Amino acid sequence: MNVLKKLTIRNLKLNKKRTITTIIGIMLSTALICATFGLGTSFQQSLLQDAIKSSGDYHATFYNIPKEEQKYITENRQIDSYYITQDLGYAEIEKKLPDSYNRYWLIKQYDEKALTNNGIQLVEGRLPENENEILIQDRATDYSNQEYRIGDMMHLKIGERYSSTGEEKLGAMNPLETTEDGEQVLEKFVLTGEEKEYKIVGIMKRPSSEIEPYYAPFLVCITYLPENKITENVDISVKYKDVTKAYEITEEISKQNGEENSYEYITNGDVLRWSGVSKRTNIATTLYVVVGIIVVIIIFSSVFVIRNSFRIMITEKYRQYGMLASIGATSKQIKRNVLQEAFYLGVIAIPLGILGSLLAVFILVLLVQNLIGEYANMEFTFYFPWMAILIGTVLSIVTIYLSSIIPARKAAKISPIEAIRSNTEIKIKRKKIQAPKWIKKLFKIGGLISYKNLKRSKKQYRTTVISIVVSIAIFLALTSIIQYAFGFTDIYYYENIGYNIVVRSEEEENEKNLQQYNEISKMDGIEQYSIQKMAYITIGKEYDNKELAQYYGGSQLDRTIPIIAIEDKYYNELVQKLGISKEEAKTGAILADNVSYYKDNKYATANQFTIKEGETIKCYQENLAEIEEETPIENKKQMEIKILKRLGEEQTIGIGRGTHCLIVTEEFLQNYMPNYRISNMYIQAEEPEEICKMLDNMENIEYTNYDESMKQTKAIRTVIYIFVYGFIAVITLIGVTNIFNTITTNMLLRSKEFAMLKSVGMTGKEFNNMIRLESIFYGLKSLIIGLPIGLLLSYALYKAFGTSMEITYQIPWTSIGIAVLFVFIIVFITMKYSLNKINKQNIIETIRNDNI
Amino acid sequence: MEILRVENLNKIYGKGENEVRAVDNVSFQVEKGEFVAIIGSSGSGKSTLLHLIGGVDRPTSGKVYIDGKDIYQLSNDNLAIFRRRQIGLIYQFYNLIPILNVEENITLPCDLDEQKVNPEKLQDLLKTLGLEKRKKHLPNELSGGQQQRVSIGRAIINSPAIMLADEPTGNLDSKASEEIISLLKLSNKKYKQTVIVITHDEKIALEADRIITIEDGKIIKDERNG
Repeated sequence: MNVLKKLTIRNLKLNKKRTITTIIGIMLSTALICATFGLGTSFQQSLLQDAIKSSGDYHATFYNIPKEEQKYITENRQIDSYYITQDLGYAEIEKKLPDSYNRYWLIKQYDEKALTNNGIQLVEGRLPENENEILIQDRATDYSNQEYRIGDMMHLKIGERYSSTGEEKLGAMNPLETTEDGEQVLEKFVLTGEEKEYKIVGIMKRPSSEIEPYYAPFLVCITYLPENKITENVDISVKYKDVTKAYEITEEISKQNGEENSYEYITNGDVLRWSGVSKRTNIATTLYVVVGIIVVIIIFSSVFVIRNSFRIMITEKYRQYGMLASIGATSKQIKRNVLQEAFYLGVIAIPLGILGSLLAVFILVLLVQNLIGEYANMEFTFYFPWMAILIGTVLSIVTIYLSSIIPARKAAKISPIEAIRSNTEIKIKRKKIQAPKWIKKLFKIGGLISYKNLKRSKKQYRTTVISIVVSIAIFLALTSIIQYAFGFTDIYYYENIGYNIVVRSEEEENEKNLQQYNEISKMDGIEQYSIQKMAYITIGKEYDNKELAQYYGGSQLDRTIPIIAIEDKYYNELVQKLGISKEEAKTGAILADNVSYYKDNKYATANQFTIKEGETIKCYQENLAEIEEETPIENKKQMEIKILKRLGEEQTIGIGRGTHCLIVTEEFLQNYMPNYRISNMYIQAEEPEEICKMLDNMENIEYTNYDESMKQTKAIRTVIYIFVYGFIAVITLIGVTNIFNTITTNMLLRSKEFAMLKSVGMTGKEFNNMIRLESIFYGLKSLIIGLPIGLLLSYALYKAFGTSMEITYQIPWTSIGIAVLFVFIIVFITMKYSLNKINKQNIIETIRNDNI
Repeated sequence: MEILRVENLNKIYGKGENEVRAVDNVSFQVEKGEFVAIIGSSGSGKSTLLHLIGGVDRPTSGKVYIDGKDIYQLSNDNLAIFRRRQIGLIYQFYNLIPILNVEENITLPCDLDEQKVNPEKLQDLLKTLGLEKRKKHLPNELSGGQQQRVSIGRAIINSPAIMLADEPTGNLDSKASEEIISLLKLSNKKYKQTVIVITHDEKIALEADRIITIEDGKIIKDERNG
């Protein structure tokens, strides 16, 4: 090993802390790049696998290919593999339900490969192994009065569908031909005379819409196609060697027999999309664009860390390179020395980064699968991201090379005399470090020194300031996204509403309703419940919002709205939120009449009624048994209700946003509206599933389980939080590495100065104060630049979301607070760390040490 | 009047076989206004002795009295305050703060002490040092001799009890060396400043009132000049 190489290794070992922080920096950058691409790959692959699972792995299917022409497709060089399916014919469902749209079986025959690759999703049983065995769908029982079990025999009379004219044969893509009102079936079913006996060997899920369209009047069942039974016309599904050309090749093959005679075909859109092939811009490309933007941010930050580390390294060894040059090292050798150092660091850091990223992606995919896999009804699996590793490695190497080549060139240019003589790399210019007088007056000499120092090492600090700025800006922007995105979804989703099941009794009489509710309330696992009562009133058109009416192009109307009584407990909670006393609350009603509508390309809010809070309005009672639309309003029973308050953002049980109603106490309703009805029962259950099962067994009970959708929203939210905060965390970590690197080095380089200051009589306290001041100047500078940029970004995002929502811009004070606190904590901790190190040093030894 | 008394001063580095007695049981006194040169070969312990006198290092044992005060009884912070008021240090490599200009470097000990600088005194000092026209310059804009003059200014600004110089001419050419020596002599005469200089240079030593020779951490000769 040559001496320069030895020197490199020894240097790395000597400056252990620097080496480690540099390695961490490179590691994080590599890991972040790999993880971003890796996650992209895993999600893309998961989506692709999901598409294959449900619609098969073929790229295109050609229909009705005559026997003698099959070889043109199957022997095409661009085809990797193919499988053959054919329609045997239709058969009527034996005991089909009277008015059922689905009236036939479509018997499809699949060859060996098609059975395994064409997206059959078995629920139970096995695939057919001969032409007497058959697979039917799990929903078959919904369309027939007959039970279908594995092992049962099916006797089918094969036929064909013909149009009402009797001329046209109907295929799988034709919907049921009926009269215009859909009452009568027009198409004809003609038996071919063939009869088949099948044994059910498996139950499958409904096949994809390419095989069985949503409007199909039949249920597909699948049987085995032996090779010798391939008939005249078959459907051939193909997989291409080069998926990227799928659309072109398909077109080409379909036209093999000339333009007019071209084959009918379909392409497997989902599979092609997730393979990254598409005719137009679509989700796959969007995904890549998003990943691309993220990667640009990451590369940007990591280049700074790595560049900074190398710059610092050169500064530290400025003298050493001068010395090497003075004893005859050529600039080439010195340059190589620097690059070598970069090489060693890369060799250690890149593999570590890749390992870290693999682990991170693995964990994230697992998390996503556990959190939302069930709701998304798909399986997120970890795929080894070969491409991601390749890209990450290449990008890291390029970054390292670029960030080391500049310092290397600089090192090579060092003139020996200059390096040995002068102690400072940076030429200090008088003008650059002039400080305003007040600095010294206010902060004393310590403040002056720290202020001037900041100005001196502008370049070094700039990179660090930038990395803090990037962290702050990203943090502010992303927290804004979360705020707006969730603020947005919150309007549509239920949260903390105090119930997860809504039950409606369909009985006619109040007493029976109550009886049923009473019965339900005794079920195990019900934490709390609330029963509401309601009636209807009509508010006269004089109160109707004129502007709204005009907006919708109508005139003012009498409007009938429910008047809902909620239990006292909830009512009292609500009036408290609204700021009404309990006594006052009993005397009137709370009005909910918010309307949100689209105006000037924006959502706007308004009130349906021009009623003031505190106003007593005239309204008319409705008879619940029959809404008396025909009765003129004057003939209805008139009554007066005082409107206490209007409901704003406040929520209470059972009153969703956008509901128009009056909310009153139970007592009020019973007194003034004796014809009220018992309405819904709201249940908060520990295990909603269990309660729902019990409700299923009750007669005349309808219910909605909100638990699933709430859980789903929460899970999606959690996943977004994990990704967003994970991203912020790593970017911040890179920033912290940067800060740590710069500050510690800077402090180390100045330790001689510090020792000098101490030797002329600076006390420890004064010294610490000086450093603290420097941290404050430093943090302030980053914040002064970072906060406006972050706010600008968050405002831009607000504008983006603002087009579809009427929300006022809110300065994210909390996030700003967190950012400010965080910046100062990080800077202080790093300074403190270096201070401790410096304070341990002996003044004399430091002053005499020439190696710094 | 006695300004410095050193009593049985020891500074030992290392332990056992590696033990080095940099300063070995040294005792001596210096009168106010004396100009003392300490000479000795490289590694004789003279620098260590100087740093112990200057209160920037701590001895293994023994005492140093400056103006009657036992300086190693002081806490670190008090010692620092004592240093900036009573001791002026001059180093071979000047050790100026690169971001402060000439004037700021000179007044640094006053600023640290939050004392007002007498502008006339400063003006006079700058004139004496020949730095009047350079007072706004940064150290890297000055020659070595000029930089060393700044550090003399810094050492003298607070009229310390003792001015200590560690090889002040070690890094300078002969012309600049002469200037520095005459400045040291001038301050000794003009401000009645007590000066202790460590040097290799016979010429400087001969300018001093008293020459102390050190070898292996011990005083082997202590003689008055002329």
